[in-house]
Amino acid sequence: MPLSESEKGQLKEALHKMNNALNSISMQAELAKMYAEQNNNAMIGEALGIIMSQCRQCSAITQSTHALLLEG
Amino acid sequence: MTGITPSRRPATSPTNINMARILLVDDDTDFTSATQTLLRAEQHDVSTVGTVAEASGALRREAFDMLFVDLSLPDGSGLELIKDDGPKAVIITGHPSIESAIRAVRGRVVDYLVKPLDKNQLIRSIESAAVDKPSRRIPSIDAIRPANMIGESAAMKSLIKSIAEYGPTDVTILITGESGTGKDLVAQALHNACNTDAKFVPVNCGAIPRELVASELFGHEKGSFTGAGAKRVGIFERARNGTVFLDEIGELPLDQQVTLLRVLETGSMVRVGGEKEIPMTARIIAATNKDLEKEVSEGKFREDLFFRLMVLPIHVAPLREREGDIPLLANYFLEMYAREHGTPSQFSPRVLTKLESYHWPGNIRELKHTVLRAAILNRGKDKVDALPDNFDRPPKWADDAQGLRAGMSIKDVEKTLIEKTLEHFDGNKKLTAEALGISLKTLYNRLCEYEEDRV
Repeated sequence: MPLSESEKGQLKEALHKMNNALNSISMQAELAKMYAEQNNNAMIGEALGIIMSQCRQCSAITQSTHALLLEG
Repeated sequence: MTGITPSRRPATSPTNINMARILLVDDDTDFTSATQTLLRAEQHDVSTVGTVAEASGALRREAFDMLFVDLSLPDGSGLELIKDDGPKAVIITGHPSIESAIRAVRGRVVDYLVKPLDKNQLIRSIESAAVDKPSRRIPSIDAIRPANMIGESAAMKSLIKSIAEYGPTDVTILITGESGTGKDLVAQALHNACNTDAKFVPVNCGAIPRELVASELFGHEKGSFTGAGAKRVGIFERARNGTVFLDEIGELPLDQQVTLLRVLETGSMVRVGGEKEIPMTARIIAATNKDLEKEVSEGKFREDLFFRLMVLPIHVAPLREREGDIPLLANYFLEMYAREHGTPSQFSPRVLTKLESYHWPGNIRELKHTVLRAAILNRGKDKVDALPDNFDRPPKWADDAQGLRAGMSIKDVEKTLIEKTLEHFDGNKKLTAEALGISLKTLYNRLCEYEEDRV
């Protein structure tokens, strides 16, 4: 059953919030990575790099879902 | 966010790119505080606010070198803060849309970032904002203008000014303009303006077979696919610290558009079949004669890549809009042919008037070919006093049905059309492909097929 305009709007808003949260997580991870590098902790730096990469992947999903909603 | 979070640093010199004064506008305090700390660690002076009203107040009170602004703010759009006389701006958004990007790039926007951001993106954007800083050495127009970039029209002067401003940066540039306007010369001039010994590597995206695009651009490791007998360094690596000129970017296959976008966003690439991230140190200049906005709306070009390339757009005007440049160009080409072939070196006034009154749909390329044909036609004379027949009418091949008859197969009609067009352009395959609206690769494929049929 196709989504109503109201439901689409709610979904878009949820995706927007999710993407903002991912952006915030990613930037906090950047900051933590900087601190890890300053303390020569390569393993933590590497783990934070993975978190950032996963944030980008999640964000790509929210963006493609958002685009689908715009098209549909 | 209830007010401005000031920087704890003293105000810095706006001319020092290492200490840019930045206003970050976003209502997500977790994001802004982390970004502020990260950029301060890079010696930048960052203040943060969360609304349009707070940002407007901060901009009235203080001078900033640049503005990082979220499009979606609690009390309005971040676009309201971007003014022609304001600081350079970087747009941050969760979801790109054409409308916002187009509106934005018309202002003082130097970059367009899609969340989630990373530190390297932010740093590159700050560097982009240095484009028109007074401390930046802008080369003289004469120093960067290639000898064959002829013209004194207002459009040409504006173009040269853009080249002088944008050239000495490493910002991605998209050159748009009709076929034959000299976009490749503009790209070369932008590279020359960097005053670097590094390479300028042009590549025609439409001329690379689809299956080899990734390997050509990014290289491949030995054995990564059938035929990859040895490691190959791609164009991006070969252009280390220089410029990659992606001509006919609109022809890049969609899957490779994704890869190119990733390279632009991360500043690194991976060879086909490889795992190691290789830093991308070349600057990208792309060009197209297509309406990319239309291509995006038709799903033929990725929206996010379009935004990435539109950071600094340069439009090359068609010849018909370059008042006064036709005689300069015509004389330049005529003198060039006179030196090479001993043909006449001057036009009669009547011929020059005729050249000036034509609208040149094929632009400089068409003018150049017409001058060459005229020079040969008038060989042995003092002046060029006659032009080739029908030079100012639609090409014969366009409306001539000779050679076509009812009952012909589509394949034969296509072959006839290609051969006639090729003949019209004196065997020039690039012009032929452009006129037919097909890629150079398609043209080569067809010609190979005809050759095989003939054999």
